[in-house]
Amino acid sequence: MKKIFIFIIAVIVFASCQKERDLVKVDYMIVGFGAPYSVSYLDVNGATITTTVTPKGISDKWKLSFLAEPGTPLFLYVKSQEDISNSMSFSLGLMINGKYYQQAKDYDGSITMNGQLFYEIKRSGVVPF
Amino acid sequence: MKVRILLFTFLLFTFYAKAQDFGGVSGVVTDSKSGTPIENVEVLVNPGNKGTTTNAEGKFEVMGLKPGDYTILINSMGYIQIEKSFAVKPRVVDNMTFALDIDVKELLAVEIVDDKIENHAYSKVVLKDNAIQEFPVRDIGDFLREVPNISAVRKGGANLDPVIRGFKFDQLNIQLDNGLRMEGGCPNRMDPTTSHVESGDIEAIEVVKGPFALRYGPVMGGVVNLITLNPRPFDNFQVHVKANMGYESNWNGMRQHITVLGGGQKVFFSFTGNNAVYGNYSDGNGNMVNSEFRKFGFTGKLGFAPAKNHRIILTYSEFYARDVMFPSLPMDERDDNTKLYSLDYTAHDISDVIKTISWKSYYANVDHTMDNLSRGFSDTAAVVSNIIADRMGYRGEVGLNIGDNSHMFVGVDGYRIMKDGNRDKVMIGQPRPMMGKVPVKHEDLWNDAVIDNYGFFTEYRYNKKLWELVGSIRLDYNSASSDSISLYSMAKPPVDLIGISADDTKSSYVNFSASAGVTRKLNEDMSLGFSFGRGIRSPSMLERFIILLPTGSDNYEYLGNPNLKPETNNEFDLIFKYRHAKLGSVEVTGFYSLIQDYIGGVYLPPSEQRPLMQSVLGVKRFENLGGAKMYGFELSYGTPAEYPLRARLTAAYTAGTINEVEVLEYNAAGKVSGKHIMKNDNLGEIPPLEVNLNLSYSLFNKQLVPQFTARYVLAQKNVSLAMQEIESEQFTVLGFRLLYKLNPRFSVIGGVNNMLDNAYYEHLNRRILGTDSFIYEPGRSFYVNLIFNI
Repeated sequence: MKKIFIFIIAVIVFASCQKERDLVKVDYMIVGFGAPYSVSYLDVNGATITTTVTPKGISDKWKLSFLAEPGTPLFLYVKSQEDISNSMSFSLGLMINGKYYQQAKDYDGSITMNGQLFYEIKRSGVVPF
Repeated sequence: MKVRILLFTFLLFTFYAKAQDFGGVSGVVTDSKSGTPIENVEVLVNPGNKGTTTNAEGKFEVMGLKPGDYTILINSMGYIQIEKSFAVKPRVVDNMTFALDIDVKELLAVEIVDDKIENHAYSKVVLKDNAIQEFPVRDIGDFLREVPNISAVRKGGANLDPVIRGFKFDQLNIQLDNGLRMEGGCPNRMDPTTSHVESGDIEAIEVVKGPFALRYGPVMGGVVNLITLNPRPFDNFQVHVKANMGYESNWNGMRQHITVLGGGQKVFFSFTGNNAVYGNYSDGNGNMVNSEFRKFGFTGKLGFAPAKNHRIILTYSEFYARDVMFPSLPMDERDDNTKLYSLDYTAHDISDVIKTISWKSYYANVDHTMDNLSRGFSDTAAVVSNIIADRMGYRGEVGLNIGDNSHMFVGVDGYRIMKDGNRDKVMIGQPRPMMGKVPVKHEDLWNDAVIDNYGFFTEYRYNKKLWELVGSIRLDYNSASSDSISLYSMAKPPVDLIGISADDTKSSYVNFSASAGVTRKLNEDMSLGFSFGRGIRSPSMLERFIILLPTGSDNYEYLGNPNLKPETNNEFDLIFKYRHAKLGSVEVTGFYSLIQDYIGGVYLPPSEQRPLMQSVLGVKRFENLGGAKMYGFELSYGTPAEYPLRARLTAAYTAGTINEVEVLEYNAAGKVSGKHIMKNDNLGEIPPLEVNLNLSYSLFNKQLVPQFTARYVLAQKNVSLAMQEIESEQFTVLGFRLLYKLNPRFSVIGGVNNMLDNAYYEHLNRRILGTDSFIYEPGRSFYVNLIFNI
């Protein structure tokens, strides 16, 4: 009987080894824009989603949260016509479990399309293991 | 009356005095693996031919022995016989303990008549499970480096890839249980066959160097046969449990293994489970090496004995690996899920002619996922690659007794390998989405590639007086095909950058291999053997069909070539053995190999093929490079096993050159600027001369055994220019361990590897990606293994 108990415990112990990796909470967060801007991001399934955000004010925060496995690629891109070259208020970031993983407080560059100037900010990475 | 009483008293004293002059021997016999007592073991004491058998508790007693020197013989079917000398003293009963090892030959139906050959005419090494358990074996490839002239390619902390006498990868036939082979999923050989087996499951490892053991499948450089624990019948229903727990300080590594063995006469079973979690280790300089890994799995086997001498065993295994780091490769192994199914039937002593029959059929599925997601450069492109590798096969063999002095084995085997894999790159380094999307590239690594092989083999063994002969032949039909070998650009419309159509991937070969060996006993203690073997292997899946991946030790992407010819090894071995009861045993082996159609890489200029990655130097395609040769020796000396002080000294050396090879030239920027043909360039990835010394001393009837090991490896200056190899330095490593067997139910082994904390690397260790720095071996590491038998 003792041996059978040991056998059962052993099976349970080894079966429990096959646990999945823990999911982590990912937040895409943008704040500090006073005018509409375009945001593109990779969602949890790896699809690129593009949407236009119209903030109510510079303190209006855009945030998207999801649970992701370690190794999930992250990508957050903002294209804005608002002149943020001297802005001290905006912040864009990728957060993992509530802590900043990638953050931008300045724009990366600008691009002219159809005669219009757009400021660009991009942050990307991979959910660490 | 008084006279009668006096006479009785006199006789009593006389007998008592006589009895006091006698002595005896008693003891207990157990199974060395499970620690359980063995009943009905034959115990024979000579001279005098006094015998008995053990009782249900494994105990025996032989009394009434006159003082003097005796030998005791312990014999039980299915176990290796033990013979031991002892001295009987008056009025003393000597108490002995015998732990019997399972006879590997008994486990293997195919080997059951191997006793016709005492001295193989080639190098054959058998490692038993005791040796495996007593080391902190975290990896079988790593452990095999204990065998002279076996080294291994290290790309990370685990999954070392064995190299025998300079032969490696598909030049070797690495298998489980006499014929079962698994196909690793990774084109970079992150998961060689040895990585899909748990070391705690191994009962024995057979290593046959050279192209001689043709019964086990196509072979060119050698066979490694990993024999796993098999269930076996018991007279009465029993269950035995064995557990093994280990810890290694440097890796902060823990591993556990459990074995449950049981059953009755008709139905019997085994279950094994394992779990290992290892962190990064520090090298001798204190630098952390990215080497962590996690592995777990289980194996269940169910056996039936439908009739006397007949056995059927069903096996199901699952093995998992997670987060296995490979600092020399562009990716790490994220998930590796292996499932294995097999059916084995064995029978022996069918008739006077048919001695053995065996049949094996199996299916192995490997689901391998690797990625660069733990690397800094994943911020440019997050790359995930998934490969499904399936292998199914069979092996059937009949062992025939065709005379008093000869045996013959006849059989067939076959396998099918199927591989399909791809690589997805999410280009998150792009500054902005393109066409509204983050670009994702999808590339094939293999495209539904298939290899089929059908073999027929026969081996003949003859033994008469001082001569032993072994001859074998095998015939293989090998065919392969794949869907198109293509790589599409991201242009619109996409352009095929390689463009090998499915019809152009087809190839088939008929390979004829043969070997013959003869051994002559020079006297009772000495023998000399000579072997010749011609082993042919068809090109591997990687060499035929891989689509642009850095798979070599050089920094090039490799492209498969469906038109490769098979590679052939013509090898001569000479082996001398000397065994002396008091002086010990010596074995010296020399070998010389002539290789035809050696397979290697040939540079393709960018005008012909551009690489996928900017970080590599270019593209090489697998080609037959012509002739090459390898030669070397192994030497071993061991003191007699019964001496308490034991010494074992081994030395091994291999060298190899290729007749003609293209050597690339580089400009100051490190780019290819030209090439020239070089004659007799050294072959790459060949280890230098090494010498090993092992000293041990048995105390308290082998209950306590301290052991000291020293390993000296010379620098390797003979490097391959064609492969841009780098010379490696000489090193010495010392180790110490202590084995303490408290009782048959509990043993503890503790020790320290790399005692002096030397910083060193093996010549076959790969370089850390993007650098010229080798992966260093672990620095000083303390370990402890606890073995319980319940």
